[in-house]
Amino acid sequence: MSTDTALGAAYRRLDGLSTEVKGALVALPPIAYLTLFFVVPLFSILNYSVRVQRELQITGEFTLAHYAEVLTSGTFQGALFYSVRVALVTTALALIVGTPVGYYLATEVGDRLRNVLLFLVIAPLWINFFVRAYAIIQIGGARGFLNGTLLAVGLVDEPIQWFVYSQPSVIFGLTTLWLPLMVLPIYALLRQMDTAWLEAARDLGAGPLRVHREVTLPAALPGIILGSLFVFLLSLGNQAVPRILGGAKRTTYSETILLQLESGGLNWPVASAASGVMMAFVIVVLLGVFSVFDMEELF
Amino acid sequence: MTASSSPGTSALDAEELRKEFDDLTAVDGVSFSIEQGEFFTLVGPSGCGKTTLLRMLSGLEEPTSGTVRIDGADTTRLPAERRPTSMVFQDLALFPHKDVLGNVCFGLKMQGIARSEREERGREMLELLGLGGYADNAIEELSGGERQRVALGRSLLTEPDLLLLDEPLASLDVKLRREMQLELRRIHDDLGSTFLYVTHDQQVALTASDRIGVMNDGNLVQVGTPQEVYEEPATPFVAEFIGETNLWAGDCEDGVVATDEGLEIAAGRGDTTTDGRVHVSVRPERIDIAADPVEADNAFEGTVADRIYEGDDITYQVAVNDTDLQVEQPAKESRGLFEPGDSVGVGFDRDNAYVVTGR
Repeated sequence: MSTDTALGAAYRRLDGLSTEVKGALVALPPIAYLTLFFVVPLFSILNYSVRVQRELQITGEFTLAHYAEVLTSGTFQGALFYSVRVALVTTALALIVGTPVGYYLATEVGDRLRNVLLFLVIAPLWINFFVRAYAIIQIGGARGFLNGTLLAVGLVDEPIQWFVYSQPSVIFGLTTLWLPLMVLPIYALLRQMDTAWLEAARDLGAGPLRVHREVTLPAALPGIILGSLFVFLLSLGNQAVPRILGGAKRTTYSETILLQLESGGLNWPVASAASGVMMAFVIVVLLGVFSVFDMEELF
Repeated sequence: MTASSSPGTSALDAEELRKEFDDLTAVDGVSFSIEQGEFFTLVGPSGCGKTTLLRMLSGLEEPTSGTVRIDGADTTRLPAERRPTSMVFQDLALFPHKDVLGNVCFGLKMQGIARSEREERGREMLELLGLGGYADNAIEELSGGERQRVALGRSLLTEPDLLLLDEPLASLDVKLRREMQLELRRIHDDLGSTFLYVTHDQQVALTASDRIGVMNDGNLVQVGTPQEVYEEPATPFVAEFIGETNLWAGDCEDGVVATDEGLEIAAGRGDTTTDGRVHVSVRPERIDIAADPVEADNAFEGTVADRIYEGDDITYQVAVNDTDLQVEQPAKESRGLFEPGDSVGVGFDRDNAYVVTGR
């Protein structure tokens, strides 16, 4: 039997299958992949979080003590508060900067310039963040360009320290990192907006600001929600930026989790419970957003 | 609507309106007036500047020069949101994020009218437009004709002194367009408001309007009642754009036009005393056709070159000398049809030939 007929026979057999079976066959590889590398680790973490650990060994004993520890610990509470605050401020900044950029790209520029500007918006995503973070340090450091200029002009007598290794510099780093993810969905939504809507609103008596409130904002809203979710959630869990730009103190929630595993303790159950708390927090945020806004409208 | 305007003033006065874009003059010095309560139609081919003219009247486009007066007040530099005009856009520009009632009430909301009052008035408007049950529907759930009416209602509810309509029926199919056109006229008559309608469809212009302005190449070529514009075209362009016509260039002497193709046409209307280069226009439906020579002031013999059956009418192309005559006849069974190749007589009296002196 030649390979040709063998292949033909295989095709014929596949053809005979029902649509459901064919669909299942197509879906099988990604499902297997996700199960192996996402679902299994997820459940093992959740499993660790409710087990007693003795002499670095996870036992079969059930306990909720780790959750109680995480929830009552000042360190974890402070870290969660810090991370949420940084993520919120980052989201707000990205919104303030990203919305006008998205609007401008979608409505004000010609096709050629738009392509160039879109490329510039997306380009940073291709540049390794460490390179950009060190550039920020170069610019904002004590001997950097910014302080150098301020000193030369005489606005300050000594370098401003909080330009780097500080909460503001973490927020700045996160904002520049995720800004494209705010701009792009807003841009995409406003691209679909008909500028005639703006003219109609003006014609019906809406002043310049009112036009944006009544027409632009509703048109951009799904993009604003989506972009904000991206920026907030990615900032919340980000570890690289605070580590490079945040200075020696390891104050974020994810760093606090890591410390459980590093400082000689290898405290898997508490680290897992802390992860569980974060997961619950994210799920609550998502459910909250999706209960107010229609999922279908967002995606 | 018109209640606030003082009697005697025109609803609109446009004086020498001009609009230049870079190296293109879209509107080249247009002046005209619209009376209170009039249904005025600007008609012209696409690209003739009619939409630009409308946008200058609405405030969405700033004129390069010229003056716009609405009810006697100079509004030339007033932004769109502060003008007593409202525009029905070509693609309607309904707000997709608002329901039908939200769209219709938008203008009143901008005027700061309380929700309960504006919704009551919005519902009345929807009632008037036959959309009573659609207040809470999304725009995308409506048909083309229904959206049309929502856009109209949205503009009308602001009670504009002048309603500007930019070819809002263009996207509808022919039958619906005819219906909406009559409905527009009915709404106009009911409300007594002033309409300025822009279209490239001369049929709409003829049937719905009190007066027509014909635009070509940035200029307003002729203004008049539909009958005036149809019967007494000022230029060859108007004669050909409004309705079908046979138009020949020729030399006029003693009321007879010798066309360049060699026809001698005795003309009884227009400036027949002109001597020199003119055009002469004869409408196809004013020409008789018969198997035998026709008895008329202008009678010719020719051959049927083509026949176009249109249901209610039949149009013949009749070759006479070096030119074709277009002849339109109502289709009646008793009359019989001529076939291409038939020898026929065609003719028309001098009163059906109009001398066009304009260029």
